[in-house]
Amino acid sequence: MTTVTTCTFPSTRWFEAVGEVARRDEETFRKLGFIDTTLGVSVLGGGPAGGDRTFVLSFGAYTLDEVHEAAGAESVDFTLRAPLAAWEEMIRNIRENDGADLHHTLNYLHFGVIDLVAEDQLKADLFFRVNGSLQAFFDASAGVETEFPG
Amino acid sequence: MATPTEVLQKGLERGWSPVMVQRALAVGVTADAIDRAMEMGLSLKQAEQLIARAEAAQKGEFYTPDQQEYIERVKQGRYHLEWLTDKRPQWGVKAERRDSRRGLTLMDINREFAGDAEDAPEGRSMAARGSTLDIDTTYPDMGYIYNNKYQVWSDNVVPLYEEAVQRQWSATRDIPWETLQPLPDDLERAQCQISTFLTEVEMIASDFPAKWLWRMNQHFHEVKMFLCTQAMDEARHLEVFRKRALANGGGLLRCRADTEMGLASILLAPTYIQGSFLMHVGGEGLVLDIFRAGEFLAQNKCEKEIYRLCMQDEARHVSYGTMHLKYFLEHHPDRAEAEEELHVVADAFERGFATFLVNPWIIEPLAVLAGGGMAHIDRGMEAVKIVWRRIVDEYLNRCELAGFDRRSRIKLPAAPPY
Repeated sequence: MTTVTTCTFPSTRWFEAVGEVARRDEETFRKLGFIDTTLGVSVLGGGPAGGDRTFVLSFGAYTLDEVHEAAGAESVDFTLRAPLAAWEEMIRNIRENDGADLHHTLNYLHFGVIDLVAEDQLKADLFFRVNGSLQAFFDASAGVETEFPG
Repeated sequence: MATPTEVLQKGLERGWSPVMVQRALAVGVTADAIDRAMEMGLSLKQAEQLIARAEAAQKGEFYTPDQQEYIERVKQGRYHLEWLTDKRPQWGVKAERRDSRRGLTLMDINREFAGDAEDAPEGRSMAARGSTLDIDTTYPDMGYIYNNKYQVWSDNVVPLYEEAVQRQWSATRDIPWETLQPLPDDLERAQCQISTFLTEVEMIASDFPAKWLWRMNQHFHEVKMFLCTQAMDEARHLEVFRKRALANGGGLLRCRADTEMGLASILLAPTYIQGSFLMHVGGEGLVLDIFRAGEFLAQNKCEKEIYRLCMQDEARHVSYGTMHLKYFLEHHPDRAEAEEELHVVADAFERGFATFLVNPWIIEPLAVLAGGGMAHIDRGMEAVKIVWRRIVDEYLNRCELAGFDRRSRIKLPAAPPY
């Protein structure tokens, strides 16, 4: 996969860059179906002085429409929450394998590494309804040269 | 089989004179066909047309006198054209795409015209919601028994249909079968046993909606369309697990009678809501967690993709079932009675749960796959325990979301007994 740019994870720019890579592969995402969800990605220890950072990703139709860093509590369908080290391992694995290997998919990591947080079960189940698209989105990060804090 | 005497008697009750019934019989309309026509609610005018067609056929003519008259008019260039000048239909409807990337969705057209299903539509035919009907004509009664919205509806069913159509996949084309590699015997047997189990159970979720589809009023077409996608999804699940069982040196293994008892309780449930609760909320909720655990069960990309794609489908079905339960209870004319009836069903489902997760033919293969082989079956059982807890927890969450309190009555142990 061609690298677009170098970005630091976590940052709004990093998610935008992944969104740009994903957009170039429109056919894959069209085949996977609509991604009608707004989700949070929470990076524990990903902020200055070890603070937490949360990014809100709004998908519409087949693409990432908008991403911003949450200033406080925001309404999302669900949040994927994990320590920075876990996200880093997942992103490095995706980059090395041009897509997550068997032990680094979102759904695999959600058993014990990534917490799925939702206000009700219907919203939690949305994660599973659009799982293939979200995995393809994060797999697109193989096309982004990523740096990590520290 | 109806007899001539029976249809004569029924005719008296339905306004068909004995002369008319005898005319129909005389021209070769069978007593069964007359009985069916009466059941469909044919008007006397329509009954006359039925007899006229039979009379024409008896004379060796293909067309009825009315049809023959129309044919003569067409030959003379005198067209009917009432459909072109009819003032009654709402004309000028122009549904627009809210998001051009998506195409024209059901949500788009429903926003524009006849999008709100009525609570208790009067029609019993397949006439399209929002269309114009003939005057002075009786439409056949299709035999619908679910004519109230609360009996079938869920507030998320329209977007779920669109999602389902978007996310269709092919078990032949979209699974990377080339990544399937020979596995050690214990892992291949375990995968084949689970694939056999899933081949067996999945298509109940096609048979069940198919059983009730024709009983649902066509006014609620979105529900019927969604259930059609579910039937297709489950056919594909059967297909993909049967293919997996037969594709890697193993084979189809054991099907157990106690599993079949669980499936029968769904298929033979006396009402749609009871079966929907058992299947959408109970059974598919359980299987959804097995598919999610497929992340641990998969030994290669092929199996991972199988479980992931099935998981997406199953999560849609569970979402419909959960929201249907909610709608059913919120709009039922006697909620307390409805809840009590469903509690009895839920009690039975929960007691039957052990059939699946205290069953060596299911949990041991799951543990072998999750552990990575017989040598690590104990480690795999830890994953099975997680699955148990999640199934119970999420089942209770879904019931709670639907306003159906099972926490105070749950029969299921929260923690696995092993």
